Amino acid sequence: MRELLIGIELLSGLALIVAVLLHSPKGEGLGSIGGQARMFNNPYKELEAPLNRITYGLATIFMVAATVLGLFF
Amino acid sequence: MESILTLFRVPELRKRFMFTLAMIGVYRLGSHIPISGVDLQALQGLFNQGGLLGFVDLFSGGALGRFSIFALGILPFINASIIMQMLTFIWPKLKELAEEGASGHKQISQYTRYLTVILAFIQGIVMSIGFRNFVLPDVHFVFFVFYAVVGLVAGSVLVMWLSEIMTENGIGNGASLLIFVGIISQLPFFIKNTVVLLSGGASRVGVIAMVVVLLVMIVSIVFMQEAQRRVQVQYAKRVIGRKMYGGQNTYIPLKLIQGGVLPIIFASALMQFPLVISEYSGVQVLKDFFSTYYRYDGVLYNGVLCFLIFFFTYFYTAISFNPKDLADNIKKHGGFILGVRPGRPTEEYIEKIVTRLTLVGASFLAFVALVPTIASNVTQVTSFQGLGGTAMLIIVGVALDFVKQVETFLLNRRYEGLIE
Repeated sequence: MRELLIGIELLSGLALIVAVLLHSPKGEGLGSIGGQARMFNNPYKELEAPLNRITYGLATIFMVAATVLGLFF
Repeated sequence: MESILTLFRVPELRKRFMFTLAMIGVYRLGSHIPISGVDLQALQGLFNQGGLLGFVDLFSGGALGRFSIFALGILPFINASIIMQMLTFIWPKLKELAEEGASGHKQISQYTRYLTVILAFIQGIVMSIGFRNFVLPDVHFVFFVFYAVVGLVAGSVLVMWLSEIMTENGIGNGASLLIFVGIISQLPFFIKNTVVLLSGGASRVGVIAMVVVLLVMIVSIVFMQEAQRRVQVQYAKRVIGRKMYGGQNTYIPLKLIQGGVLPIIFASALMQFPLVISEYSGVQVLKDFFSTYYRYDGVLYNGVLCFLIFFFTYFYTAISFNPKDLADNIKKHGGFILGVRPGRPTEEYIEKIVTRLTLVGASFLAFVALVPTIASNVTQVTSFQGLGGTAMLIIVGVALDFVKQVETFLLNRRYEGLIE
């Protein structure tokens, strides 16, 4: 059981890294001058909906696996 | 009070606010999820000794002391941002890209994200090897390093993503909000420590004096962040058809501290670098050197801090503010600054003003960063020592940014209403 969970955490972690990097950069990071956010435009919003769902899913799996591991093992 | 209510009354704003809160919730939750295989109690002991490692922990909101999946937190992203911004100055290819406008900026931020992963990877390796003494005995060490590094990098990337979607769908800049939350979440411990100190027989006057100093600092930070120099501009009259335009006096507001909180965040992020290296490398000579000289109340630490604050304040003003553009714009619209010729003289005039303003701004920031250290030395109330002036500057600055963003949003909405 423990090995399975560790495997899940590792795989989802690696996939999460890839998924986040696949996203188009949002805003301009912390580098955006003056640290202001751009609240109004993002042309890629529609295109990224499936990727968003995948990322949310992976993030959830990763965090849940880590939580269970931390709590019970 | 009124503005707090509007935060909930406007549906779009409410949605954004709730999103921000939810993401902060996820962040806090994640910083409590440990990477298994580490003796957490022993680790806590190390961090409770206080000192500078405590400050690194403060930045991550306690995630480091728990060796959680968010232990690296937002720091790799910030460091990557700093490095990329520096490189943009030095490397011609990147500079070209930056001048391309929006698409070039996008490309640069994509590079920043790759760099974040690389930095997180390096930091993760160093950190998990550095914690070798705390690994539980039944865990294989090589496997632990592999497992921990993947966990740490994934966590750090996740935090980066959280900050990005917060910037996009929430209110305020995600990255600085996450740092803000991290610092705020550690506040109760500082208060608790103060109470312990008081019951241990510390002087009441000292504590009160300390609190007063902190309050005065908050007020003065707000004041200085908002301060601006108004340069008068006179516009010429123009007649188009039967109407007459222009001819009025306006002013250009030049902010005292152009970069806002960013110089402080960058400076304090960089301050942690040598410390983290010495702590994890395990080289005793380095460790001894840093624990003797690189201390909160030490001259070296505060000197370096002041220098970095000055450097980043000027650096930020240099990249975020272009006097030539401003002078050109004034000229294009038929305006001029009273007593200064348009074009180059105007550019030089504005540059001179900004340089002076930045000197005042940077001195103020450095001063604020030092005051708590001095005050705690004078009053002997050491419980706030970890908090420091930089943390206060970040808290106040981020809060101000947040409020400003809400105001901008409301303004935007009001104009939309007019057009409809």
